[in-house]
Amino acid sequence: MNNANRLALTHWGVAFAAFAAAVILGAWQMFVRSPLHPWLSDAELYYRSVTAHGTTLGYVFPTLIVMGLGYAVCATTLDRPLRGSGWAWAGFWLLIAGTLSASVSVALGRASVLYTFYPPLTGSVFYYLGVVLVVVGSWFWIGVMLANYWHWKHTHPQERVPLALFGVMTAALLWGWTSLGAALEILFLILPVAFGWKATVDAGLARMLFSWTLHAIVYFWLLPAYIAFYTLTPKIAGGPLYSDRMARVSLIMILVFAMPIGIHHLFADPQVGSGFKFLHAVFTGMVVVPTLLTVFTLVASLEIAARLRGGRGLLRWVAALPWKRPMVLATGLSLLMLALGGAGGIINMSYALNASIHNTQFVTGHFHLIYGGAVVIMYFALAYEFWPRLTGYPLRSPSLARAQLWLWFVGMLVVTIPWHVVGLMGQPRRMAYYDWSDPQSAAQAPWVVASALGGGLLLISAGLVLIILVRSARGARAQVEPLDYALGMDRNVPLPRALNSFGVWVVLMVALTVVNYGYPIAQHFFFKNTAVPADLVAR
Amino acid sequence: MGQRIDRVGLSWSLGVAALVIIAFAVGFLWMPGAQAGGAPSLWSALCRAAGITAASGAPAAPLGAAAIPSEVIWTPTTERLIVAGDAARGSALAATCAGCHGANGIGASDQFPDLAAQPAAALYKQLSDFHSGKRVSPIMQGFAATLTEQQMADLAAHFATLPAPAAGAGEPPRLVTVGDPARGLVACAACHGPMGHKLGAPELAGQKAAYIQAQLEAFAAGTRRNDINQQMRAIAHELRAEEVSALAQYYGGAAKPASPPQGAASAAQTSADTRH
Repeated sequence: MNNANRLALTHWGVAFAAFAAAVILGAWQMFVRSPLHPWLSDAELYYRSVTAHGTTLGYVFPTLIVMGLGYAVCATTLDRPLRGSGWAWAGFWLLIAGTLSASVSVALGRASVLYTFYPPLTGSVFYYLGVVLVVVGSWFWIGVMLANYWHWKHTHPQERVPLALFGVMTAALLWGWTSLGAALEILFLILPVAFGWKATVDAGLARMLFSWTLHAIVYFWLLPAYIAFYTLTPKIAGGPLYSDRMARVSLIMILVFAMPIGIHHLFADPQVGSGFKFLHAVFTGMVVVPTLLTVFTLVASLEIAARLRGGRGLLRWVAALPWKRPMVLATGLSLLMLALGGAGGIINMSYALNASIHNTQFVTGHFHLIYGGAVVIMYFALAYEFWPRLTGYPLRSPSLARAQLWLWFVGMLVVTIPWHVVGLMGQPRRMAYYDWSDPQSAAQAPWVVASALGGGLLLISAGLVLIILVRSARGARAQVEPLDYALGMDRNVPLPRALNSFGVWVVLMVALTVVNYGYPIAQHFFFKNTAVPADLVAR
Repeated sequence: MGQRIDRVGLSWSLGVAALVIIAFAVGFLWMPGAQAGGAPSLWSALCRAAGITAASGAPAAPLGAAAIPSEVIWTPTTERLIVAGDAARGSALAATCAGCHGANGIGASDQFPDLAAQPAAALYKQLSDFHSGKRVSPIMQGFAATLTEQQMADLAAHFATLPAPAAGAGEPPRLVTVGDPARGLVACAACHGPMGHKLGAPELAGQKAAYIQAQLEAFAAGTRRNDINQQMRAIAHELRAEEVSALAQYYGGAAKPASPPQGAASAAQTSADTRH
């Protein structure tokens, strides 16, 4: 096994182990606050669990998946060994050290601050140092990706950057820029307080910096799914990619627009001007465009594949697709969840509509459906596709894999549709318990019971993932066909150089950040009206 | 080829710039006027859209001295002062306290609270509040007036190290374990233990029932007002008389098997009665 494959396998192995542990916590959280369980006598346990669940699934799991995908893509597109694998391993171990430091602090109850870094609530120093190490570890990965990309560009000056590599580079550049906000917040605002060097913290500035990271991080999580949509699904379905150029345009739009829009998380913050809230709402609307382009391109590619396989009719061609392949099935299920979740997202980002669902369970439902559903189901499919190539052991239980994907899909809908509904009914998020005997909450109770049962389905599905991966690695070694990426139908049409490189787009991303975030950040240096005494949870 | 880079990059950048200009025009010029129901001056519209209001600038609106409930602020400096309290020095100072609070921090009279094994931060805060006059008591203000910060920390350290009074193990009322969300009442146990220990909050288990009752009544009446953010005043104001006595009995009287816990059943009952 070459070094890049070993890196990918290690990253993904740890990622899925962490994932399974965090899903157990998630299912527990849903159960204990549902009417199926008496009120927790110790609410702190609930917040401790939310912190662990969110930190693992928000920072550790997707970061490891994207990093692993980066190495796997390098191994399959570069036609030569990975450069800088020493740095890559160093990054991995930093990430592991950070994860351990953060999870021990959380487990000891010294960092029950939820996974969003919103002061004045401040946890243990070791929690934040752990998160910093995770982020720094991922920066090592960005460096390795950049070095390999530049080397490839240097040695292949006239060639088209393979689309999978282009996608991974989009993720690396987006992450590099977007992780900066939370990193600045932790280093300059939170750590001085957590260390006890400072007594007050500028909560407004901290929230602003966190919003810098908070939205684009979701696109960083999302990009592996988009990379799979563009480069794997069409090929596995039996056809070409409808448009390589459209794929690049979508990736670039995500790079440019995903980050300078985070103030839509602060619509209820009084210190942020309404003009900037509106500006960010407009640009949040812009990220709908690459999503629609992706759905269009993907469906077009699938239709071509289906017709090549003999599919006919206006819609009957859908039946001709090889739904037995986990990647195709996952793509179909992912698109359904993306459509539902995306519609909900448009409500979240609308400056006026947001007020009706701000900080309700609707928001939790939205991001679980988009990320936990549409994106994570593609992580499973990627694992099923890459695992045999990385280990040399073919996937032993394809039918179990299909069952797992269906179970995840159904479970996620059963969890999140009720959350959307009770959110509209006014249920606040992040509560350790609800009073089900109160007439107002009583109407929500049946929905909450249903969603808790959905949590059980997700738990079973997550268990199946581990079983499938472990079983496959214990089977008989066999020749696995090498990974073949889909090529665009327009692969012979010359590509503008701007669509084959990132320079101008990075400049545009930074410029838009300055316009959209410059004043909202700078205002905190003029008006210090949001500085408050810190509230340390770890003593 | 070189020209095409510039064309694609440039046209995109111009498109984004146009979007920025349109969004700014709507968000900063048209919207503030539309929201106010009339066109304000250009300058005030811009300020409002940028989040600059009359309240911007001042770190916090100045409050009258009466509105500030306590001079104690839970900064790391305060915590370090309390942690550095010297129990031995405090023990010498505590001779004065023994008359009412007992030599071992457990007094004979129902009027005076037991101090033994209270968290040092809670003891320090009350001494400091008596010292600054934020908590009113003719007796305690007189004693605390002459104490220095260090002496208050020493006394707090001394009483914190004494063995705790016996606490009962009755069934806690619902108000203690889960509060009453419908009335916005947080669980007592969330700050006063065992669920959580809010810095500066006293331990209630084993405290004298009459004292707890008197303090809840004083908070409800607003005669005691040294609770930060009016937390205890807001809670006590919502409590019914029978709930106050049930809580006092649970915390103070639970030790005596003779007085059965009235909490669980009665608090849940009364809370259900008033729902509509």
